[in-house]
Amino acid sequence: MAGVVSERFYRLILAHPLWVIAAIATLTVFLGWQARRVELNSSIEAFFPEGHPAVTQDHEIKQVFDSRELILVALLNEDGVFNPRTLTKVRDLTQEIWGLAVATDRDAQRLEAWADRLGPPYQRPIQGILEDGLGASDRGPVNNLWIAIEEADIDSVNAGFRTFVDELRLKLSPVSDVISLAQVDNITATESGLDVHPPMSSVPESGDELAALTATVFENEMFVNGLVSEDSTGTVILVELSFYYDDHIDLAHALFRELEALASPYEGPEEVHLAGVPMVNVYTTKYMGGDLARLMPLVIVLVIVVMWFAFRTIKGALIPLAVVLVSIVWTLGVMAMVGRPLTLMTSVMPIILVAIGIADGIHVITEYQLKWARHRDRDQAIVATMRAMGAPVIFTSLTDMAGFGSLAISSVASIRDFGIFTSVGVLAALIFSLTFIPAMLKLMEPPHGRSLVTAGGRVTQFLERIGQIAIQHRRWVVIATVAASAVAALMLPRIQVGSRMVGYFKTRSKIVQASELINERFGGTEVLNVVIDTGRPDGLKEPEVLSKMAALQDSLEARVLVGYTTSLADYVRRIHYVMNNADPAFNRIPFEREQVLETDWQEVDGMEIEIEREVNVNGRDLIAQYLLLYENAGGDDILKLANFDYSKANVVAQIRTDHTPHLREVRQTAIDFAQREFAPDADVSFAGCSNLCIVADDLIIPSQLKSLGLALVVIAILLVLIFGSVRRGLFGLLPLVVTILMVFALLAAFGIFLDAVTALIASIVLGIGIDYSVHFLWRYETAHAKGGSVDAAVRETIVTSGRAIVFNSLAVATGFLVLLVSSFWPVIHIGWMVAGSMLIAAALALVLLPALLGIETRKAPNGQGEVI
Amino acid sequence: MKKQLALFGLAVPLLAAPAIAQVPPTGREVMETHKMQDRTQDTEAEIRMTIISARGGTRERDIVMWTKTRSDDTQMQLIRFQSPADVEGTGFLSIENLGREDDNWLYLPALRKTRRIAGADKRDSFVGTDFSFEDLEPERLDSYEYRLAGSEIVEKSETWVVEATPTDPKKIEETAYGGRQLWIDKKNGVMRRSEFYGRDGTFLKRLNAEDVRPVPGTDKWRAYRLTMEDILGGSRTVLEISSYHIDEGVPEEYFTQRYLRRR
Repeated sequence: MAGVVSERFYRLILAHPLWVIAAIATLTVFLGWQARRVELNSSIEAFFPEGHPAVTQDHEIKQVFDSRELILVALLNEDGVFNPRTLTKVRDLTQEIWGLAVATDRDAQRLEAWADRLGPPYQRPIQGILEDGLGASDRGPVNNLWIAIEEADIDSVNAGFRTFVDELRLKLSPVSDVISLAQVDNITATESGLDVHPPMSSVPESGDELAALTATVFENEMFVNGLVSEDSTGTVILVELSFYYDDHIDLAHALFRELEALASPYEGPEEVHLAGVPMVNVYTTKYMGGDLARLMPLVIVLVIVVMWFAFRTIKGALIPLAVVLVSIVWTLGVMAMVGRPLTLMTSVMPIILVAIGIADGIHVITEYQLKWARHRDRDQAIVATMRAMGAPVIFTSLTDMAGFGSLAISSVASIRDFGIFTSVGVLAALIFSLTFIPAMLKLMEPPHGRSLVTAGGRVTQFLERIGQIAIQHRRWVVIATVAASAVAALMLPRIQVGSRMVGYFKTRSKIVQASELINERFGGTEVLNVVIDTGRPDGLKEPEVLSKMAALQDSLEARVLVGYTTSLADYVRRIHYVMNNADPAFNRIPFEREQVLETDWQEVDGMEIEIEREVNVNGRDLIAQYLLLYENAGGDDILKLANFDYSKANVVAQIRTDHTPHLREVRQTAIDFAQREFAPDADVSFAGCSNLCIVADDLIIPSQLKSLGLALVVIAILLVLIFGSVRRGLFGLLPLVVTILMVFALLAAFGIFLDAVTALIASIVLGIGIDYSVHFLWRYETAHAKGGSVDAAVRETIVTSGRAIVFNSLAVATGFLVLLVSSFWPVIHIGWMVAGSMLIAAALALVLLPALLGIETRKAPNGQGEVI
Repeated sequence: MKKQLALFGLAVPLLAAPAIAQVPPTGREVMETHKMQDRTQDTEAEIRMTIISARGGTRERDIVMWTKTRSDDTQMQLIRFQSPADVEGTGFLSIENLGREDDNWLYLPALRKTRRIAGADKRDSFVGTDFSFEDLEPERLDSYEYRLAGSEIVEKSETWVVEATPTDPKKIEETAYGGRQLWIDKKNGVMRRSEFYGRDGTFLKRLNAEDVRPVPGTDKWRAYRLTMEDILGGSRTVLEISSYHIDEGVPEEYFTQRYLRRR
């Protein structure tokens, strides 16, 4: 099988080295140019494959209740927020946020270009829009432009223009709703009657006015923990986006920059904090970019250092480095071309490609140094090197691709991307190694005389010792391995699944502080939507349904981590209370039958007198009338809590943590309650970021097990094919199976939660670690084929291949240790765990394989270890 | 805003029919014919309201509306819900006052109580429809400046196109609109269409009046079907008037709290 790639191929390359390099450089420049468009996305939706039912349902529910992601702007003042200065800030911020627009000069230029291109029908309105620049004051005219496009014949409007104007509308009004003390429905009974107005229509100045406002706010339990903190040291402005984060990431980031810029002048002595799921996404993306910018140079420097130690030549280091850099550029280019984003998972990929790509380079250069020493002829040495190394390089690439490629069956989109694109990177490194390296070697000065084998005398001695020991004590090696595996297997049930959003940040960044503060003082930053579908129009007007909704809220709020809930039931209870002269006895959902006092006039002795009598009325009618009254009073906040025909309700729970095991408990509370109280009359489903996080968790374990199983099977088949022996194939796999068991045992031992990121560790270890077995066994076969004893063949293998394995595992481990400076906990875990596992895998390859080969030989009848 | 309306105006050929050497009326004069047509002593109308949300859901409500205009041109209005059954009998009474806050009362039959309610913001939705309170008010000619912008055919009827811009400071403060464009039937002064623009010039709503015919036994013309579209939001509300009773003498006592309470 040695001639996998024929000698003619290399001769061709050696005849035209410059052409090869030029071709690869062109391709690299092209893909590099594509790569600049690669997008960073850290939203939870990016976890899911396109069209996943959980995401579809989430979007449907959001549409039914016209709700989109919220940003929380918290104003904190240790002396209390009920003072004219802080309240003025609340009012001004509310207004300024409404006025936010993120259109740029570039948008204005593009609009002008469209006007020139489209001519008369749109030219005049566009000129009007552009007259005094592009800003919030152009919302009306731009909307009118949109209406004109919408009402025009669809074929007559340029699709690009349509999209541009639609996007421009969002840029001019990126915020669809702002809720604050200055802008929220407060249902009250005043001297003039029932009223629905914000509690603060103007900023109070006198002490009396301030006291009155404080009383008003705290009198309405719907505000406490929702809009103001219980201790009145903080108040929140809720900002609803007019678009879905996932659809307009650039726009979202522009909005958040503006929001931060807008909020900062309001600091002091008040603290202003921005939090909420979209903000977490923004910060994750920001830190991901920072990680890449920091880790890449670091990993490159480290690789150069390690290579220098291995080869004592900078040139020797540059070639493997070129391999990895080019494979990264190609991979990112392909990702951009197929429109997949970099996520927290795929952002680790470049580092992994460095670790893997470097291996091919190391093996080839090591071999070249040996061959040069023997042939002293450049062409001959190169061809000999490539003939010797071509096969193992191709085989290891295939096993890598099998290891990572098996993740392509994952149901988590970003894990799938990770698998697919890491495979693409491995393939790129392979192509590059087989073409660019020989071409470069041809052009470069051959290495200095210092041969590698003599350079590492002590390492060689050490390796020989290990080989001897492993073969001599092979039984003990096997027993120890089995024992360790058994212990590891016992740990497996202790692995916990759970992920976070904010909790992933290592640093105490602004978003972490903001989220913590808001979780401390308000209802919580995470949202779980519990959707109750009665299946019948006006179902929500039934007293029983509303009472159960209120009870559901109570059972949710009984959980410490649920800080605030709201639903239609709150509004009905509030109106019932207010309509009954704020009598605490009526601070509840109306009963099925209510007794009310009816006033009437009767003629008694020719005089009209007012008489009162008690009558029974229907609670359902009461609720219907309250809702009509609320609508008529201009209230529209309930549109987010009930659908148009009052068949579906949205119960919103705010949760003070982002850790999925806790979110799951909250959701379970709702599920249990629903099964007890609502089934079978009403269906309960879930939406919101919390639910998506839980569902994402559920996807991880089964799909990781499937991927891992698939990878093991595919790699086993590959090994059997490569070595032409089932037993050899299984030998090769065994060190990795043990290593993976160790990985999971480490997760359990350190209490590290298995999430979409840490779940990758096993696949990474398998993909990279299998190389060691392949190299070792391949070299062993070659050595053994030359004749001689098994012991001699093992010894030769261990000093050549074993040496490369040691350096490779050190290089890979060092590369992964770079991840320790990442800003995200799961990435840090990948760093040290893969580094550790690589050493375990290398050690097992060096110890377990000789031991197994030894046992195999002793059992073989002719004592020569001829294998099946 | 003015620019926007002017732009629309340009699309309309000015002074459409010069063949007859007739001087076209001013915008104000057109609106006076409308006001003449519109003004009544009192009106009773039975209305079916259908609210159609942007997503296609519908809500139907039947109401009866009584209005009475007093000598000082202020209005009294009583609205009573007939259906759906759960709100039957619910009533809203509003009495406009010159120089002071209007009085508004509400009666919820299930509570057997009338409650005074805070004066509804004129910009707020009228009982959850796409109409706001101000859309249903009679035209106050002195609060606007009217400009004739041309003439057009709407639903086979010749109409004058009039642009209305609020000029009265109180009106400017309380209205949601920076301007309106009105299509007034040349024959009878009935408003056939109006378009409402926000303060920033956004085209907000369009009202179409259809099925315009004389009210039996009177010299008044009325639209029996009114459709208000929310242009950006995508919802619409259809008012179908099954009968108008004009100047048949709605008793003064209808506009009392006591009558409000009587179902």
